Amino acid sequence: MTDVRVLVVDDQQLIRESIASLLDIQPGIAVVGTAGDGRQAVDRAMELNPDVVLMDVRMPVMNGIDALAALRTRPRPVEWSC
Amino acid sequence: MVRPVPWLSPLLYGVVLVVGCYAGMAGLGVVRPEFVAGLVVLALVDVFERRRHPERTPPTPAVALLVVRAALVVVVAAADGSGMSRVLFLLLPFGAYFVFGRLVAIALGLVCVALVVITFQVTVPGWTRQVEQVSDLLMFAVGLVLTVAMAAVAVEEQRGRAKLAELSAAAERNRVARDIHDGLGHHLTAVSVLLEKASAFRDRDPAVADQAVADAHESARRALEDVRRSVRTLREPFRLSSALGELTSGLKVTLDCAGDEGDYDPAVLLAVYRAAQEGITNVLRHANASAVSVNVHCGEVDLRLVVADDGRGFDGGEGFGLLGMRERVAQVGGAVEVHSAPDAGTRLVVTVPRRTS
Repeated sequence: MTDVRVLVVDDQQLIRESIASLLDIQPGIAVVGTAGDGRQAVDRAMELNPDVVLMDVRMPVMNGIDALAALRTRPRPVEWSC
Repeated sequence: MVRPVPWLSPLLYGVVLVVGCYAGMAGLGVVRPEFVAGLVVLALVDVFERRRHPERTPPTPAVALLVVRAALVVVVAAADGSGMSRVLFLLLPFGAYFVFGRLVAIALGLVCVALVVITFQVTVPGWTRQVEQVSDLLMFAVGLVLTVAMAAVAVEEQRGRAKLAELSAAAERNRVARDIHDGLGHHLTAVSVLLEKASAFRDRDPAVADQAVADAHESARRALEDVRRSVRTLREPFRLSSALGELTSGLKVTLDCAGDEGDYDPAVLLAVYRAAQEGITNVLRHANASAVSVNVHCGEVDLRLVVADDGRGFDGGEGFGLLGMRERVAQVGGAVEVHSAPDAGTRLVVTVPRRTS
């Protein structure tokens, strides 16, 4: 079985990296990338096509809600959902 | 409710006493000893009520006091040679307004008018054709309307003041909640996640686990510092320049404070401090800047904060942090401007007028 591919998005570096490393050591989960704000998250998601995006809500530049709304407008094989 | 217009009754007692005594001395009417005694007792009843019920008289004693006052006013009016003491009847609906409300006050006023009419009916035959009595009655009615109106305005004013106090308390609660969320909440989230990381990596990679514990320790220390700073700002008058100095010490930030901040409200200074904190945090986190400057100018007209960096800038889009800052600054009557473009740095300008009221 292939791993679930996760993108971790949080503006606090310590929290982002901790969550990423915690997830990465779980069997069946692979963290494929991280992003520090909503806009980066949209770019990374389009580039990496992860199965799951774990995203903070309050972030600078673009918040998590707006980032999700932006992702929903992009074509993708699997439906984005909250 | 604190007793509104507390000077009204002593003023009227004094006026009635002076006019009554003058009428007696000038031979305009007969002044009996009950007149002065009644006024003294009325004043004593006021003192008693204020001592016994400093805030608000409960309904039962209020009814008893109303009856006592009505009886005393009748005694004074009957013993007064000048006719001036009729004005004391106005105090009955006035006082009743604050305890029993508008309807009872108006009803009492009408009873007083009826009493004056009955008195004229009994004591002055054919009074309806006498200019003096008719004008007395009309003046009394006008006085009554004005008294009830004054009571209504006083009650409205007190309600408005209570509402304002409630709103300020709510605003203060929101501010404290925001402070906790932005400061303590962030650090505690980091501590929790880092400790979880440490425990997950303990056997797998002890070096990573140790680093996570060290990071958690640092976050906890910052949380404690935040709490200490918040408590200090609640206890002591807030000094923007020293708080900014503390904030920027150890960071590569040029700080320049000019002007006298003593003229500004502590709430304004705290809002500007939070804005500077948010601005500096954003620069350090995202701007990748080589130079950051913080300028504060406390002028005669307004206070201006500029946080400028030469970092990578951004093209539109604002996070929650900036939204929170705008809210906080707007609360003290100020405005936030952000100028930025890709690779051209960012300039955050916060302006708050000296008087916000």
